[in-house]
Amino acid sequence: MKGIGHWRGNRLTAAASLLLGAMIGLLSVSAFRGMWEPDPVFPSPWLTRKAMLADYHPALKNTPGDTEVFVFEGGEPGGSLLVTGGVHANEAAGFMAALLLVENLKVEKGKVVVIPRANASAFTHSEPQEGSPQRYGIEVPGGVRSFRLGARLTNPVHQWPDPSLFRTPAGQIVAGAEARNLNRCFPGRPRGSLTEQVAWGILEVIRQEGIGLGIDLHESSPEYPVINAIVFHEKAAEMAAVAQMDLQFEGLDFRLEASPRNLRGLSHREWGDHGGIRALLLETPNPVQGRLKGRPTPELVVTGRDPFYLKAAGLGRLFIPYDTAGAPLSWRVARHLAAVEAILASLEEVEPDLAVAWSGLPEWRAVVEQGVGAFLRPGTGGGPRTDGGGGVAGQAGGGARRPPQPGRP
Amino acid sequence: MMLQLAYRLIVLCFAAFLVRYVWEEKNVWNQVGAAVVLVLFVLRAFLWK
Ligand SMILES: [Zn+2]
Repeated sequence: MKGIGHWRGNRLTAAASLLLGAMIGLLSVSAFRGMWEPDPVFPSPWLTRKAMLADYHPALKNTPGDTEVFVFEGGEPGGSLLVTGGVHANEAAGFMAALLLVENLKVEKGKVVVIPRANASAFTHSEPQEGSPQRYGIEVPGGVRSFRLGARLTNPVHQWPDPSLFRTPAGQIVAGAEARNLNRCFPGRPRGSLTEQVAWGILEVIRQEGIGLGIDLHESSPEYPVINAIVFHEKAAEMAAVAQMDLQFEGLDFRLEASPRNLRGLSHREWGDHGGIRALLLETPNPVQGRLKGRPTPELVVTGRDPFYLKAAGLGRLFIPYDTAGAPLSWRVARHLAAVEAILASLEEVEPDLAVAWSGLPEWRAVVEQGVGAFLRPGTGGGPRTDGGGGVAGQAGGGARRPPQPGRP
Repeated sequence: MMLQLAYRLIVLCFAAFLVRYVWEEKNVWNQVGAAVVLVLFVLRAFLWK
């Protein structure tokens, strides 16, 4: 060891070390900054207009909280629906289901507003201390599209430091880091933190677009009790019940969860209380965000197949059925899609004047069988798809998905 | 915002100290080591990963 110490340094080696350091730095910076670029979205040709959240809440202009708002209007008058994905950017199926809407939707009646990356800042970093993959790939017709896997909370670079305790705009005291959790910041504050302003912006979308029904797309870990669930605000209770029955007939098991009145700051609570709309939140099971997972890989995001969850299911520790088929992203997206459609159908039953009707979307079973990628646009160009993407089974694992299964194991 | 600026200012001061250390140091391994610490420190402060 002594010999090593005798390597004499001089100004030349000093300059070389500093240069080496600067090069490592520059390389890391360019790789890292790549995460700050939002993945492109290719809206369907029937898009009415693309807005930004800052158009509804101007203070968000040129901030990392600004995000795309896609508006689809139908020829016939009707109700208006808001769908948000990416309120939690690590819940891939929420973002992906919203993206599927944006890239395929044709609204016939009423209006549909989709915000696929509700917390845009949360897409710019990864879940810390989890070894989270930065990206995952989805096979689309003619190639692979790569997407960012974000984090649950707003990027601390954009909102820092966290308070030791956070008083949500709705008045509940929660842990400090929740100040960066968009789904604790509703109904937002117009001059609050970045996350609170984003929440305020979404409430402004609800007000300015005259939204009547809001659906917030999420995922949760398979060991979390509120899963495979429709969480409903009391204003949407009847609709949620009708939708759940329809889904049950389709062979999709959903449980109903009433939004607790004393849990403040969440979309399904505050959109209803402050936005005055029927608010619902959907959950699908996502192993990559759970505590029991093995190695978090891009494949796990897409296949949802994890040996440790399989073991936990065998021990009866999960709240959902889970077998060797895993919980593929395509199946999770299909569940979101089926639930949104069932909710729209029940809206038509309960409030025919507020109905929204659309076309252009695949049947949920087709998303399971062909993979969600078959219904996304090829990453390279924007043009309309030439076919239904037949035959391209996403790596999301095509083939027959689980048959309908009763309750928990 | 002000806190973040102050934090970054402190990081820059420490970075300047490290640059000077590398420049003056007579042991080449210490030079390389300090240069790597310098990179990590600055990246951590400005990119926060
Ligand atoms: Zn969530």
